[in-house]
Amino acid sequence: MIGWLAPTAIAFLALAVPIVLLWMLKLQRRRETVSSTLLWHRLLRDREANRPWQRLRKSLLLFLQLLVLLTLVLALARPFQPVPAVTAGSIVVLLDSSASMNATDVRPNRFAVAQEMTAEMIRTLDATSQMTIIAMGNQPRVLASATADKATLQAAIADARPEQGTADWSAALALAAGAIRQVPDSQIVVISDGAGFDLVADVVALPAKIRYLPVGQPGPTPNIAISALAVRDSPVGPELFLNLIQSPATEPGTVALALYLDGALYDSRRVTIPAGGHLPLTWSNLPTQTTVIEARVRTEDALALDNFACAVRQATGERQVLIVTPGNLFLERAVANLPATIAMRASPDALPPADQYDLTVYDGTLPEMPAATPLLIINPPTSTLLLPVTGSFSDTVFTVAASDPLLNHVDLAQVHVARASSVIVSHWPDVRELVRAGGGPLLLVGEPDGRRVAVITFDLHESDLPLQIAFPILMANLVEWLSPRMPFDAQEVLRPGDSVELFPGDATEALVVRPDGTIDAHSLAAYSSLLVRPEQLGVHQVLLDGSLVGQFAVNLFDPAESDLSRRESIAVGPAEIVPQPDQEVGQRELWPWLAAAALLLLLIEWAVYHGATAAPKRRSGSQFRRPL
Amino acid sequence: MVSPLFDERSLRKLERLALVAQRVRAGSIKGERRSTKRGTAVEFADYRPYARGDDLRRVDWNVYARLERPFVKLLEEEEDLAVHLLLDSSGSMDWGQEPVHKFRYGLRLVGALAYIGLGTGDRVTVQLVGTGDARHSAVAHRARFGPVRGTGQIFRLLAWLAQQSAGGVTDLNAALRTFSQHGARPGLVMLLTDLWSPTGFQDGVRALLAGGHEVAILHLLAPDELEPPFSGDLKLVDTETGDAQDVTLDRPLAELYRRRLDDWLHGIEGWCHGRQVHYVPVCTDLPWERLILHTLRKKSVIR
Repeated sequence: MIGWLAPTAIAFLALAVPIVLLWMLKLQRRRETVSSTLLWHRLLRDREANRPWQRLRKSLLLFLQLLVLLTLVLALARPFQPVPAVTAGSIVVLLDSSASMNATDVRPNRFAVAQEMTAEMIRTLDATSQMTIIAMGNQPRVLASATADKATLQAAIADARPEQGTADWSAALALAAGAIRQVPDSQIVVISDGAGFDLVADVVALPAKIRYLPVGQPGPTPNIAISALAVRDSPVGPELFLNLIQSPATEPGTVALALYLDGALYDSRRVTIPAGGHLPLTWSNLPTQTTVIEARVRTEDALALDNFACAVRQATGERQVLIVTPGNLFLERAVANLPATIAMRASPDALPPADQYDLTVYDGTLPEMPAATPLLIINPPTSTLLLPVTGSFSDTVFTVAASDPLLNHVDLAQVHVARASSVIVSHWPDVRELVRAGGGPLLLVGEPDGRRVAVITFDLHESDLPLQIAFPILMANLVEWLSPRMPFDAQEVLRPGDSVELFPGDATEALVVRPDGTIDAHSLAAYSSLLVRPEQLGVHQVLLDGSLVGQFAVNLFDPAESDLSRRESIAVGPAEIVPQPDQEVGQRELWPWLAAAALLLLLIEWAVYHGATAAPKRRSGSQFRRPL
Repeated sequence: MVSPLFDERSLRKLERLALVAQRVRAGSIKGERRSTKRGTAVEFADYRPYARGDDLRRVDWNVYARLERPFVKLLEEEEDLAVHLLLDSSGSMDWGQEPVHKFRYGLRLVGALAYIGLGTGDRVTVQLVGTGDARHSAVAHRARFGPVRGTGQIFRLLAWLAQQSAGGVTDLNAALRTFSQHGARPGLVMLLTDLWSPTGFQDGVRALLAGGHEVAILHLLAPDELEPPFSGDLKLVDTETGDAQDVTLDRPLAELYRRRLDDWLHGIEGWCHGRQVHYVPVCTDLPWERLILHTLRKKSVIR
């Protein structure tokens, strides 16, 4: 049964009339004089025998032209064939693009099969339906939004690529819920292997019918994965912990495991994962200079992504700050709230050994022998060898605020200071007066004795600076300059899509070199931070202004994704969704076939016409062409 | 403007031909005839004026002493051959552009062949076939040159040839029969024609053979007759008869034309071969001197 979406186009068949009329017009023959028509007469006598074919051939062109018209008009009328379809109406397709969709238990892989299932749904989409496609990776992405344009949908689905991380089902379902909220009678189609779906707890209530199309081989699919790889320092050297898992866990499995330290093979062994599915392994006394550790499992299982893991040994990114103060709530809060900072307060009377700290802050006090760390000196009370104080001044109206990166985003326009100390810093190398008033400098930095020192020459309590938004920013900039952090603070276990914060310090360009060699480049302002979200598995390198400052490792480490068994149902909230046979009626449009047929017929007509009138190639009269 | 029939280059070619002609003789019939007339081999037959190239030993010095003009003594055994050059002058011969125009090509061939004939002491007659009815003697007279003998006639002949033109409808059979019946002396008949004759040519050639002639047909066709340069929906008009024929010339029909043309030419060749008639197909894009010096000798039309 064929239906028509634009039946009025059939009226164009009337164009056949002028075509036939043109054919019925008398043929205008060109006069050509020949030496003799003798042979032509004989020829035409011969042709009498072929007359029916000749007539047919002549009318063949007309027939082909009418056929071209017919196919074009039929294509314009957009015929369709009703076909069983997954669904109809307003459809939101949730396309799983998590790591497990890279499994090759179905050829070429699960994601490609899911793409084809989606493409088939697009092909059978009826004219009144529209579709939204959301890729469920570690961040859900809308590939196509509420459109009935099949070409757009097909292009979107063709461009989709599987990711290497875990699907964020909750976010994807929330996005889908938002997409269908406006449209009644919507349906959500989940195309997935179901891996990780059963872990979703806080599913939003979905105001739509949900269909589940499972992808992958039914039943369990064997897979071996590295589910953990961690390194930690111990007094006798770095220790390494690795965990292998196997699914399904019913039988023991043997694989070859290879361990590489900084690219060199360190250990290779065959290991047997016992029934139960877990095999923890440890190595101790690794070489102390080891930085990058990689582990590979050699196996031909369906998912290659989880046969590899890596780890990077690196120092912790936190800094310790000692605040020596008789009591300054503003200062303590501001320092303690800085990221990756542990602040300790000490009284000037009972100073702990300061050498284990990364930065010492002296507020209203300054011993003759300050700690051998970078220093932040606030309101120096007495003259010391390091910082001679000559008196105080009250002409504190700001005259100069240097354009220095340390004053980035620091607005001092509304800051007032009652009194400040006069200090002598002319013997410091690299001294910079950042803020100066009529009576002398209010804020200066320098590098005496090979360490960084910053001086605020006034008492914070005699100023409204701590009440301004400029204060925490200024403190963050000063502390960052005095005690730069690690360039980035990567958690010990990073998965694709997790964020890594970069602290580029005074660098202006940050490059992240991905495991596949591609580069993620960022240009940035000094003393700002940058969030990057690695998507690939493996070791990423961080370069600031062209020099390597560190590496971080991204691993799958997700037993749910490594479990390749196809889930035959998914639970969304209280509902259990199982696959159902196609129940709706879709429309498979036939016009592309008709358009192709019209083109083909046009080519045939062209060939017939030119075959009929083309000049002969071979010369006749062979007797005349013999060597004479 | 029509180019002269024999321009400077053509005339130079003719002169070169005259040198070659010392070794070339028209017709192959002579040897046969001599063998049949063996008994009368040394009898005196006639005198003819000395022509350049004649063997000085044959000059009758007695006659020269008396008349002070050289004459060559002809013996019966060396009877001079009658060479009849018959050129079809029908409308269909008026076809093609110089230098492949069929009739003018034929005129050049006639001139060259006559030169050879005259140079070797043959009796040469040139007859245009088809210009009117050859039975009317006045017309026939206008359409005939000769018989003449001796190279001295050549410039007259060339001048005569230059005045001829083709046109009209020809019944080739009737024209050849008439020629044969009018008692032309048996000899070599070289028929230069395109054979585009609705009634055929076979009866006429049979009449020539019956009249004791040795017949050679030089079949002249222009290149565009071998390969029609047009296609599409056409009304073909016969330049000779004015007959029109509607044709849709497409590739299959062009293919058919080539096959029919080949069949026709093969048919003529076979017919001639069976009757000891020399048949030489000639495309008019072949240089005429090459035809004379190579093709006709190869085909034993001249030797």
